Amino acid sequence: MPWRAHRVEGTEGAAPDFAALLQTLALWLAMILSTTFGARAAVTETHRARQVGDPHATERYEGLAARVRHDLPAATTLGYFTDGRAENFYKFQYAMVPVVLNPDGSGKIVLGYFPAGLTSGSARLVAEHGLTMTRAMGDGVFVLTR
Amino acid sequence: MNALLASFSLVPPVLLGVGLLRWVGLAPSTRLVDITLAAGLSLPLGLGLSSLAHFALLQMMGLPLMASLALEMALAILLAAHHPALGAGWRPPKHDEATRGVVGGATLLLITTVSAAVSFVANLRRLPHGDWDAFAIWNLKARFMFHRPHSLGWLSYWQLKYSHPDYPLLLPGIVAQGWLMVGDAATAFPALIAALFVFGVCTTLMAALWKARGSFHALAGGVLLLGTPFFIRHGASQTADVPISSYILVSIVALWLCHRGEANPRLLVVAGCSAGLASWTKNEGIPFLILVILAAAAFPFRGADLRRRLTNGALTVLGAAPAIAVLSVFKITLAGANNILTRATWGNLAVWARWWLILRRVGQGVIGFGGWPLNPALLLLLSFALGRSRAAEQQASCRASVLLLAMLAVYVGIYVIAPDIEFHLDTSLDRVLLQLWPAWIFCLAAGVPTWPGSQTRMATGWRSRLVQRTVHPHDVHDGPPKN
Repeated sequence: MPWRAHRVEGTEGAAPDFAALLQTLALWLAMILSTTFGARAAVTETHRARQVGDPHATERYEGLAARVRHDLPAATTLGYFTDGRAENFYKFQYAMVPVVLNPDGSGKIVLGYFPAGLTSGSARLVAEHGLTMTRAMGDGVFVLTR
Repeated sequence: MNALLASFSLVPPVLLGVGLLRWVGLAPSTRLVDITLAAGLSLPLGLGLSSLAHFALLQMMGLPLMASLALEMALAILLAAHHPALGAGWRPPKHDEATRGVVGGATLLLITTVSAAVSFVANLRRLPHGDWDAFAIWNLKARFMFHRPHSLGWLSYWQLKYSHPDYPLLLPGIVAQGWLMVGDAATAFPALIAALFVFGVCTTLMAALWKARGSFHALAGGVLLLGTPFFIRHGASQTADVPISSYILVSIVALWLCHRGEANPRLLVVAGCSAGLASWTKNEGIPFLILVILAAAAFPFRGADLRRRLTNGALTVLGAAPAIAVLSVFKITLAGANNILTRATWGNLAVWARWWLILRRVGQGVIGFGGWPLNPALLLLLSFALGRSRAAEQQASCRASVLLLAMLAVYVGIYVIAPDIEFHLDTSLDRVLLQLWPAWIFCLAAGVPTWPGSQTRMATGWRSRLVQRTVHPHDVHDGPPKN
């Protein structure tokens, strides 16, 4: 049975029903609340953007990767070795595309990232993994070879 | 500057979208409402189809970028040239149902738009490369597609397994195409695409409500969407949740119009095309596509016989065919295994504690959704519960809502079988609710009757039979019944 809308004769000008009134009022109230909360969120988020900045610091990794990419031989795969947080790998990988990083540190040329600088602990870690420090790129980034 | 130049890559996709809409007959006049609707629908559809062409021609066949752009232009011309007679595919609205409250609504929309724009820019400045998923998945893939435009071998690298190689490539494809056009991976371009989707979804929602109900409902929809802090914040994060919400909205709008009584079968092609593009955006789009095809067949708008149902389903599949073809090739030959399905425990379906936990969390998620202290849309839901109308629009909204509820049920089912249930709920529940949010707003706002004003009631029973005798269903948009 086909069904479709059509205007029922005699309903125009009829007294509006309670449901329609209620739903229209609810729509207005929802609109006013949305406007209020939306404006409040704009103020809060502008403030947060000024105070907190990028929690992932992706721009910083872009800068580091740009420096490394200039000085490294053209390679499609590099090792990645760090004594810092594991999540930094994802940011380096994003910044280094199209180079692919091995998160297990394998490979002849390895990108070393030591956020706190080359401490005695990290130097020992590098030696334990059979790596040799070849070049310091600054800001905790080193080129290591195996 | 490069981002500005890259934006020229959006011209062929938009023309392709316009061509598709002209073929459907959805942009039949120069009225502002029609132009707005055409703009709102053509942008996501065109971008999505362009992404399909990019994947098929560049990544799979190794053809140059010009081949993809030329195909898009040729298709746009072909589709536009075969459009139906102007006005034939669309029932022109007899009147704007609601003109009261427009000034108040426009004022609220103005405030909300400014707030949304400020919030969006603040988030973009804070996260220029997007949030976690953007630089770990979507923009990462776009960069690989830019640097290696004719190869997808990197998808199988074990080092990149964390980036979910099975995720479809609509968003990375759009971004990579713009970058390839200017030869530079400008950071601002993905941000521009994010802005286009966020404000484009709003345009689509408002235009659809304007066309379906009138200017006040359109303003209400715009205020509710742009006034959702989480929608704006997450939209700026350059992930694929807002783009998929755009495709879900377009499908729902097309089905809603069918359910209301627009006897234009080509609307089902649009619904299928958009649902197909949703499946090319995120994996969640695959069950959505299946549900849209089922809904098109289950809720027939041109008759209840089996042949009609099958035709409706077939038209929807026809619209989704390009996306289904590309997605099948991608899933079979390139995509790795899905990390949830491979570790799914089907026996969890019988663990009632998990169901209870998930339903409780979903309930809490719905109530607290959006970044508001309390979801204002719940007021609308409550008002619907207190008093129901038999208006055709409300019935169409109910039918479209069934589809959205079924989609929500699919999400719940996936949570039930997923490993690390707490992790998945914590990291994805608000995002999957966001994917359905613009479509929910459409259904809710479109279902609110005009007050005070006349009602459009649904013909049922003897009235329906009377109408059937006097007006042939195929003549609905051709004006009065023909003798």
